[in-house]
Amino acid sequence: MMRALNSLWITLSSRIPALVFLAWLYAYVWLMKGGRYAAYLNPKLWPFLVMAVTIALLFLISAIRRSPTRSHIRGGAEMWLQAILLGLPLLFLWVIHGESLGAHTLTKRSLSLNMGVPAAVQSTDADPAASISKDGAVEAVTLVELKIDRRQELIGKRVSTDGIVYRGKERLRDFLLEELPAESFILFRFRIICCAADAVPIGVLVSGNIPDLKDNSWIRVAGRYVIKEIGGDAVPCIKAEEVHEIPPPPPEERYLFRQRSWN
Amino acid sequence: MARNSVNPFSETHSETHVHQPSLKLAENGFAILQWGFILAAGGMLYYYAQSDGPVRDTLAEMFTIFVSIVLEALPFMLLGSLAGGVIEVFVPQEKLSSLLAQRKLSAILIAAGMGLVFPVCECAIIPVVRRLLRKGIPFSAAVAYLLAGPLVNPIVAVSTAVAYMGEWRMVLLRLGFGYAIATGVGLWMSWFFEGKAVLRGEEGHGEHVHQQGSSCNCEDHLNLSHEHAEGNTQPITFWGRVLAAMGHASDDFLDVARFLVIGAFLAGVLRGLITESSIVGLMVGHPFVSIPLMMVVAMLLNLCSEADAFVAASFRNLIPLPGQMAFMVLGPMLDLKLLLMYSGVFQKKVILVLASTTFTAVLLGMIGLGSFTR
Repeated sequence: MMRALNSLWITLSSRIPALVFLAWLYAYVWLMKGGRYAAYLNPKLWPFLVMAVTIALLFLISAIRRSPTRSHIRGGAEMWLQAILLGLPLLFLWVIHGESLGAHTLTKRSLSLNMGVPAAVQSTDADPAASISKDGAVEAVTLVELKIDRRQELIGKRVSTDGIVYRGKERLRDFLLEELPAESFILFRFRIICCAADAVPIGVLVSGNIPDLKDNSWIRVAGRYVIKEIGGDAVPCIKAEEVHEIPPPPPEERYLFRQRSWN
Repeated sequence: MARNSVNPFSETHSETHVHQPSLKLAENGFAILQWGFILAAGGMLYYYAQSDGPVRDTLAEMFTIFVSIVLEALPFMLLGSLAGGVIEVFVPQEKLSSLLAQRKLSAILIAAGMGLVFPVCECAIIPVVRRLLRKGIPFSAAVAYLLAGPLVNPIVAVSTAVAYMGEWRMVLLRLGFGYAIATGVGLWMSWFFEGKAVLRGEEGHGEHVHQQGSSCNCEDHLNLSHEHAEGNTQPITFWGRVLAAMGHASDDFLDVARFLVIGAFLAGVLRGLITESSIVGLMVGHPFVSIPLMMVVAMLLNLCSEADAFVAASFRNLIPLPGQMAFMVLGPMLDLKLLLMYSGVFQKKVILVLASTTFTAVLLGMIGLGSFTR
């Protein structure tokens, strides 16, 4: 009996490394299928995932070629410890897939609403003539285009963009606002450089006749993109003409990503 | 058995196993801590599944960041382990040792700049350095490469330039400080540890245990994969060597990657608890306070060296330049995740001296920068 148990222990322990590499191989292939990894990483990192799959496969082959020896009796407990620790992220991935950073995370991050707009920029809010295309077609843009990539070009134009609602008032000073104007809220999304650990919120103020929206709900806003003067700061703002609640996008489409280029 | 000092398949690694009661106790304590971590993480996951509202949101944020860090870092850990395995089998130990041992200063200066030619991230470099140390390269050069490799490289230079909108002064300062601090710490560490046992598992040895015989200190996996019975002196085929390299590499990966998991989990938990505005609030109007605080933040956030410049740049209007620079220089050298990974490679006293010296060097460097730029 003891001999059989010992034999089983040796066999199982000797296969632990192979099981670890197989599990990670499967996880990376699953993440790459349909671009699921964009729920955690910048899609530009795909070559590294291909590299990970290749190396994990090589390690798997190497682990399978090994035969059980006495080392697995001595090191069995250590091997199980390694395997459980390396399996832990996979368990968490399986449980939390579908979650993403939202309004709750925004309250802990720095978001400068006037970021990227020089203080000297004159308010375009009060002057209709400042509108370049007041009655022009609505252009669908991302918050990154609005705030960073095309900020000068889009001022005064009618735009449409998607994002998450934040209506909390307790952290307005952190957003460099003294007060939130009446009937307004913050529309934001997270932008990832490498992975969710470095996610930075990008947001604009939205004002206008707004339906009752809850924090963390996904909406599509269409309206004129203007510069408002609030508390001496030039704050980019969408004067909302239409606001629709939309279903949250799939996890891999919730973040915006930094392209690796000069901009 | 005819022992061949350059044969990576030989069995001399068994000489390095130390069976002291105190060491066994320390190893058992280490294992208990890891089991404790597994229980705590499992408990938090269970609590997440049962909870609702802000608590669930906070836990979801922590776990998302944890999983993201592991998913991002693991490919580089695999690559680093593979490189370490290749070094172990294909780089002749005696040549490497004799080439570098006699030229300590130039070895440090070259090692600190190696990242410019072979850019590696902080996760990939640890298995490589472990193998290089086992091959007998001077400890000071290994430290210089360990600290500077993830920082003084073209990828970090470009990402810093992009984050700071082409402000090359920031790039030069970051890489310059990184190089200078890595060489300085390398020299300082050689004062204490050159020629001594520094790797985990070598406790009790006064001298470096790998100066003779194989550099392999793995478990006896070589028995498993290479079918090299004692006394077998037949030449090793190329494919045999490739398989041996894979064996070493996968063992390194299994040994070190678990510390990445623990570090990433702690980083996720801290990232979910820290409010950036509270940190910034402490620094506004206190330029010298910003330096140590941003260093602590860098250690807690565990960002990769390609991404941290973007986070530092987001503090540009709030924190003085030395604080931003402290964040960018220390992060790739020393953070929570790296400290845990170091603990899988180095002895505790080595980590203590390495961490305190690096922290102090960055702090002094940035205070100097602050005085110069006021």
